[in-house]
Amino acid sequence: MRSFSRLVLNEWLKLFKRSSILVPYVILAAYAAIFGYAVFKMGSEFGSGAEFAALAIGMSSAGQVLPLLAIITMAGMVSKEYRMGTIKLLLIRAHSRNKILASKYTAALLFIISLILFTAVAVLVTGTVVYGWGGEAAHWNEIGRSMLFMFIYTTVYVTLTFMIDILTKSSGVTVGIALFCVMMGGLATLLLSKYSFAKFILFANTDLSQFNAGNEPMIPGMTLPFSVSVLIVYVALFLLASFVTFRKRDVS
Amino acid sequence: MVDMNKRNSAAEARSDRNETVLQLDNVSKIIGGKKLVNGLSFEVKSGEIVGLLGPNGAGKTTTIRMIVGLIGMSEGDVRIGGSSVSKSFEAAIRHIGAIIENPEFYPYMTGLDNLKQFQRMTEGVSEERIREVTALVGLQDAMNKKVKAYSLGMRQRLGIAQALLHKPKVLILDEPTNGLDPAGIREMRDYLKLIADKERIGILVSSHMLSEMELMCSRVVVIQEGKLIAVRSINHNGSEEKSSMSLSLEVTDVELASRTLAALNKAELLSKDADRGMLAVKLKHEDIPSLVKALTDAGVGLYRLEEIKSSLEDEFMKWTGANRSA
Repeated sequence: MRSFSRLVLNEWLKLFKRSSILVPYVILAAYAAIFGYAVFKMGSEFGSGAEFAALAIGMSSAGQVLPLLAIITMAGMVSKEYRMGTIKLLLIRAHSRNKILASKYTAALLFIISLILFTAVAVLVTGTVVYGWGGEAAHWNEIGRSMLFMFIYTTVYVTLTFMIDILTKSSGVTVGIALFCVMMGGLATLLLSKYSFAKFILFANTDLSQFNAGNEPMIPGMTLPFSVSVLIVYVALFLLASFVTFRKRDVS
Repeated sequence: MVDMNKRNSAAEARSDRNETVLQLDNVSKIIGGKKLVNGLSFEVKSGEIVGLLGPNGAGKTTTIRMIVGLIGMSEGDVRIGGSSVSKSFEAAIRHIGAIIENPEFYPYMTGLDNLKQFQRMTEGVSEERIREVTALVGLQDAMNKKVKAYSLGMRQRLGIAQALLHKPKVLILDEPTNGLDPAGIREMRDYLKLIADKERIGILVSSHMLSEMELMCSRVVVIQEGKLIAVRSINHNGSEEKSSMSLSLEVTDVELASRTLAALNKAELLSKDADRGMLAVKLKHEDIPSLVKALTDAGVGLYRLEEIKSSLEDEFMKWTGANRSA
């Protein structure tokens, strides 16, 4: 366990030793500030900072930015090791390939969590500056729920990215395919929504905020447990493909 | 097998000079019905430097990558320090330090950060050990520089430091002198000899630079088209064939000289070239003065007398068939 956490630390340092890692955080901070300013200018009135934060961290606001940043940063996590040749040094140590890949995936999940926590702090700070501290329990609940849904949504796409990265060994191709999926997935689902199989499409299920009170699910008849089950199956398949490929592949 | 292991560990305790640290048993790699490596077997003992030689495409790189588990084996097995690479990879790979092709690091990290990455991947590597290996390769002053600012020679040395960090029993280097200048090559050679001698590590080096291998290795394993074609010891003090040697002579009269030789009955005539006035003879070292005297007495003028040394290159060409490399 200790040896595994040291592998995760290694992966974390590989991410954070480059200065470009600050870019997603800077963009998210800028997002919070700009969103706060725009909402204020448009004359929307919020009773408290938390009420503002609950809106700003929702899937239709921060959810449009954060997952993309996570995908762009995580694409290349494996393929770059191949490109730089460091994969050779990584794989000739006394650790199984499964463990090496698991440590990378764990670091990716930690990175997503860090982005979400950072965003939560950023929008709360903005909200507090503009509307003052405070908020009702409902708002805090909504913030927590949004953060959870954001984590699930981003994790599903990052897992997809992770798999494409391993299969293609090219970070450029990976970013392209993954962003295409995020952007076009919803549209494709919409077009196919008249067919009953559409509810099994990954993209119909990624955004769990569709089950929030007042929202309509993309396809009638879908429920929260149903979507969660579909997502679990997809994530398991993506990981299976990733690990099997990574284990078997000859490094030449 | 139990016996073997027992003996191995006993040998370890005595730091026996002849402990086998790396053993290839009938290793093959088959891709698409083609045998890239074909039933290869050889061994490396502690404290010796073994060269893996072969023309381009002979399967050197494939062999080395199979030893370290980067490529799977189709047949056979590799044992490192007694553990099987295919069955207990983690136990086997523990004993290996390697640079496969170029030494590659995370360029945006410092040399020290890179070594710390490897430290975290291995149990029991102390800060002290990091200082020790960086001192060994002479990189103390560059440890806090980013690797992207390193020269190739420095990266090569950091590569060695990385490979030695966990005190392996076997060091594997794939084309270690690639891209190094002559001074760098010489430096590398001296390091390797020092390491083999001081730390009692068995070293396997692959290369196609024959003269380099001749200077560095105590033994060479020659492969071609994935098959073992020769194993040869290299004797560095050159005393092995003192008893019998080949000489090339340049004389005034080839016919007279060859008759004199026949009469002397101590030297064997290998070849003669009347046009250039050259003779090649094989004789014992102690018979050289009497040969010279006999030729002079017979009235044969001697311009030049020279030992014919068979270099590794000549032998390599013989083994691998010179026509192939054209």
